Amino acid sequence: MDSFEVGPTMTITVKLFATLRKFLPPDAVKKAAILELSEDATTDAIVEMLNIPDGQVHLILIDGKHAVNGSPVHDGAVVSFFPAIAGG
Amino acid sequence: MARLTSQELLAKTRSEIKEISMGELKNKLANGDDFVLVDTREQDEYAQGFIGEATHIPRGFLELRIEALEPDRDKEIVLYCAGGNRSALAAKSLEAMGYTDVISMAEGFNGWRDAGFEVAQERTLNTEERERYSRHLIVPEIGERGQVKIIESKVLLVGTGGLGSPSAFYLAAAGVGTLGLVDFDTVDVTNLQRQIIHGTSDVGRPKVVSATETINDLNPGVKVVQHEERLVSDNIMDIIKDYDIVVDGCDNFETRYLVNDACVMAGKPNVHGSIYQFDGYATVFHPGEGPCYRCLYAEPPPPGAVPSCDEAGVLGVLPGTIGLIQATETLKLILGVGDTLVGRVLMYDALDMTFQTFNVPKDPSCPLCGENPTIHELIDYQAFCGITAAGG
Repeated sequence: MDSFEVGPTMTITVKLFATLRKFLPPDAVKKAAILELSEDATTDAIVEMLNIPDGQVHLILIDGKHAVNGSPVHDGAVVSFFPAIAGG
Repeated sequence: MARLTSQELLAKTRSEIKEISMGELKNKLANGDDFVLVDTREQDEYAQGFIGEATHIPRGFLELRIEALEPDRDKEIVLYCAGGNRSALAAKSLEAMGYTDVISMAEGFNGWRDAGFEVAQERTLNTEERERYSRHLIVPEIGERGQVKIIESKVLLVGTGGLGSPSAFYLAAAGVGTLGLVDFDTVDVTNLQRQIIHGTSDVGRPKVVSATETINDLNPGVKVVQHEERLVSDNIMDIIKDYDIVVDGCDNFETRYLVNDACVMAGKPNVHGSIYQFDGYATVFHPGEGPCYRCLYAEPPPPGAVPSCDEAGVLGVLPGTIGLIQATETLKLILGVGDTLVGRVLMYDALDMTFQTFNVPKDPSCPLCGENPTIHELIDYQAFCGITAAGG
């Protein structure tokens, strides 16, 4: 992420649900934030950028479709992270 | 206008419509042909027995209900009555509605039965049940047969708290014949903001006892089985074996993993709901038909990573919404109607007031139901919220 050479970037929207909302950056609106990532970024880069601890993201959607940790994202993607919750 | 006697009308009608013999119908059923079979007799006749998996629509309601049963005008529809007359008139009427492939079975049910062909019979409703469930009976997808399925079903509710309260309440109202309730807890005043099956006068009493009384008052026809104990690996298989469907409304990961693993091992559908503050999830884990809980989350999250409702709080209405989605899915599973949440997760955001569903595939590497499973026995994740997560 801290490469000296600034490569091509892309902009994505990340949405965090339930217990993950606390990891939203301060400029987030409701549960969504806009992030700028390097062009070859995966979902892991988003998790890292938002400082979400390991093991807390359990379901990932990219544009409403099921994805997994490490899935590539694309410019304009809406990436949603859901935690496991157990309340009843 | 020609004046016809009833005999002449019947003879004329039967000559104008298409008929098949009972032998031909028997062959069609044996071949598994794709057609709709409708029994047009009256309720008391139908109660004596019927053919195959015929849908019962009395002659007098046929034109009113046929479109709900089969909207496709070109679908093959076979009608029968007792002796082939009423079904012939009914066939004529359906042709007038534009159905192009309507057939009357000539010998009727009586011919079929007298020939010694197989007759199906099912429990029918008594007068009181017919009145209580009348709003179900007139729904084409439910009807008397569907209501009987509901009455004969056995559903286990894990937890009688936020999710279990509304689920149990509505499933009892709908007539689920046997409701098992698992809960070792007693009613606390802080529960009452959401756990609507319990009342203020129940504070301090066992939840299963309180819930049983509420259910008995709502619908005395429901048999409630109380399991006032904590679910653990030693008792869960014995408890769930008597039930058709398990509804998971518990409040902790250790029980959720135990319920999932036991349901996969026993081949029982597990109707899942979970909640946190303003967000809720619902899905159906159906062994063999879709993913299990471990396909989504192979292992429990780290201890302490996810606060409980006791720690984080919850909008009191939220478990009502999710619990009733669980109850809805349970009834759909019982009735065999609609598209359930098998292979899909529903996410509800009460703040945004949005529901979204998305497909989740079965995970071939799932440690429980994948191609090379590594979990072969039940695991008690002891002291989950504390320090250690045993097993795994």
